Amino acid sequence: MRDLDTAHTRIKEYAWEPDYFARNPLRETKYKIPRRSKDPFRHLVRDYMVMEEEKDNRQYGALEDVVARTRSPERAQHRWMEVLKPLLSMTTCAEYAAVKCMASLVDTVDNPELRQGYVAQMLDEMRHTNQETYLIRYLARHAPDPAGFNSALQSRSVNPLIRAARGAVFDVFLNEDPLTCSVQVQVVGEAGYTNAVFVAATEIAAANDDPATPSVFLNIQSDEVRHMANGYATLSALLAEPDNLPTLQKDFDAAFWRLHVFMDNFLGVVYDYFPKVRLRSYREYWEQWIWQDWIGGYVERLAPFGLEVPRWTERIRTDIAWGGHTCAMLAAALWPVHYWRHDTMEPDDFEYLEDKYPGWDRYYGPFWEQYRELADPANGALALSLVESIPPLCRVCHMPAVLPRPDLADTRLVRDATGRKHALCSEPCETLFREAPWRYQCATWLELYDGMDLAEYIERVGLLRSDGKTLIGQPHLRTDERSLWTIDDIRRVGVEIRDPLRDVDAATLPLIA
Amino acid sequence: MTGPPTADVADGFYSPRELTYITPAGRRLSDYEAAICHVQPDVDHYDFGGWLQLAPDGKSLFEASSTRLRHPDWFQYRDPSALWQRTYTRQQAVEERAVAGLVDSARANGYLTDLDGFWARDILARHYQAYGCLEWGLFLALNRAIRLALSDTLTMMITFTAVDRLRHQQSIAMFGLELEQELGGIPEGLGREAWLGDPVHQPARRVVERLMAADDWCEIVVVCGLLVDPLLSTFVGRHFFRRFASVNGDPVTPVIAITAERDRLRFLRAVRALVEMVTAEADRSGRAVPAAANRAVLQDWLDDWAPPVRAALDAFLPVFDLPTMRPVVGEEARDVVVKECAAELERFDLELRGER
Repeated sequence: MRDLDTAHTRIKEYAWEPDYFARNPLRETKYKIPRRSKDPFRHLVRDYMVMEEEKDNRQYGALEDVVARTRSPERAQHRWMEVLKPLLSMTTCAEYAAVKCMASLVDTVDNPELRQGYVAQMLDEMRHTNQETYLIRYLARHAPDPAGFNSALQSRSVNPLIRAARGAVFDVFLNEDPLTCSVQVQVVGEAGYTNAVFVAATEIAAANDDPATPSVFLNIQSDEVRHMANGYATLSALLAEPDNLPTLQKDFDAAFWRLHVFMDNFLGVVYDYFPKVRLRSYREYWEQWIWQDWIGGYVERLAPFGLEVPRWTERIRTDIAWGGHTCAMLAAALWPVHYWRHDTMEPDDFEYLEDKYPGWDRYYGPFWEQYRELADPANGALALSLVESIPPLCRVCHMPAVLPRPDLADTRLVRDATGRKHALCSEPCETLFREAPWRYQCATWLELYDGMDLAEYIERVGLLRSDGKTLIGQPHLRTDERSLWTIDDIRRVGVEIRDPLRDVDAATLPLIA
Repeated sequence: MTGPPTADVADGFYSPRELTYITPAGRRLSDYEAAICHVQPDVDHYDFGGWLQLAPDGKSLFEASSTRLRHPDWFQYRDPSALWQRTYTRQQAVEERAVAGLVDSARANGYLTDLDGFWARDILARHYQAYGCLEWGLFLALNRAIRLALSDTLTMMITFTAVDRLRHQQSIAMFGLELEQELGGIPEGLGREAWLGDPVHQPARRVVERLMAADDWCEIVVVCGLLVDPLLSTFVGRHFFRRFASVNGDPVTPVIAITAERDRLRFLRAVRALVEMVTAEADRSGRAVPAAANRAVLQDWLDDWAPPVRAALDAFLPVFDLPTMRPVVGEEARDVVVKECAAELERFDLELRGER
């Protein structure tokens, strides 16, 4: 084909308006969508297949070659490899949600230009899903510790923190008006966060002698750039209809909050607590990728069209300083329920964290000092004993309702008309809950397992290694047998999972309308 | 830490170096299964406690009622082709390189200008391009099933099948554009005009529009795989365009058609696996499958859809009489596809009923 412009125009001329049967989308949209707009994703299937085949060959060839020749994953920093277990199980969830989200958009958005973009992205998202599951299996085969990689997509479901990831990047990416989901996935998720995930993780992985993750993540990110163009084209189309603006602003506000409350806190844990060789703090990455590039470069360019910076942005920027550390502390305290090993912090970590987050030592230092002491099963106590209690989990975002820092927490405990008690982590989550409480009725992890003995929980959800006694999660990276916690150690400690809401008298709580 | 050090644990650290959360269909976990199984969260498998956010209308992310068929575990589905993105992309890249290379050569060697004028202008520009609309419509119909499908393995199979149809549509479109550029004098939009107005295409359009509006994802997949493809697409795509093109001096259409047939055959095997799964007495775990009720639903769909699909075959018959060279009589080709389709359905104790 000699004229690509003509070709792109031609392929869109096969759509027609049905006459014989009315076609209603599976999900209606509240937005007005122009019938024609700019084509963001100018690829024929032919070009797409050839291009992606070449990219696949590069990536899979590199991975297979790396294994055959160098056995590199074995030499990667063990602490970094551990966090790939939750990180990859979260990203696969998001990629797969995006497949179905794109199908929803194709179904609902009757605009041939946007549709072409969504179709190509749908294939990309399936590609990324498969790339990431391939990497999980690859690491199960070659990483120093396969446990947790080999169970990743099962273990993620029952993990108190990664369960919240499902809310942020699966349920929220799918269970809405498809255009609202597009704002979540493309405008905030891809334009805002994929650099913070795929580019930053690539840098850190490479610095920590992990060559596998960069080869997959950079390959993925080369597709994400086109997805950002898709999101921008969708936004432009929506902004072309002035009536859309109030709805779009509301969706935009909620989207940034929902993604932030999980993603920033999670990435804070990943980037500030798991690299052995450190490059930049998560706050520095956030300032570059989210604040300067996304808010400053992408979002503010939309101001002339009336779209404002998301409502809770200033608060989010402030919370970045502490939320990840609070989550890291809670995650470490809950190490027996994880499918990764949560390492101790050493003196150079203390120094780095205090340098990057002045005041860190005061608020979190004592916990990590004692955490190191309690990492030895011979001491007979769990790190869980270092926190007063597990905080309740937010009914909306399912994150611990103690953010950004225990003494700054914005937690609200309320009851509804039926007497059911709810913890809400913040004013934004309370706002979302008040708008549609019926959407947020799912039991939290603490409610599901309230009253269960910790050892019973570990056995029931499959958190033991194949010797039947050693825990997958460990509070350190040592591998001498005497340092490894077993189910017998947990039984000896005798801990019950306890939802703090259980002890709260509903009658004392304010009623939420 | 006190006490003497003890020996390090062995390689593998007490854990298998293979994914443990997937029950393989065969003896060993395949690359295909590893690539897709359990990426879709499911509250009946590992994701206990329900969905964290319901839709504004209170609906769940996935509803069993999104299809009339019932199965205790849709995640047990396996696509017999075992294609995942890498292998699918590789396969489709090969197909597309073949088509593109052929078109380039045909153009360079003057084959396109040598084409029989009637075949090029009245058949390809009009009816083959109209057939491109059918492929686009099937893409849109299958796309709905992608969102609704109740497991990841089914979602991936349907995604690839939908994209197949988009590839076919674009191959037809690109060939049409080549002809217009090479031959000159062919008005744009003849195919779309035929699709929207020519009586020979209206029953097919009616079928496709109905499928585009369907909201039972299994119905879309089954009707497309067991009726529309074996009857309509095979009749028009294989028996007319592929067979007639060769004898009318057209080297390109048969290659496009053959690559499409290969995709349709792959989809047929995938649909067979789906039908076998829902008409088995028990699933892989031994749980009962409502096979009789499912078979009744399948037969209901077939009875409902077969007459309009067969009407689409009859409507297209006059096109068989148009070309100068005719390798087969339309009625005979129609009888062949009807017979083959009926035989396919008999595998599952299903019948092809309905008047022509």
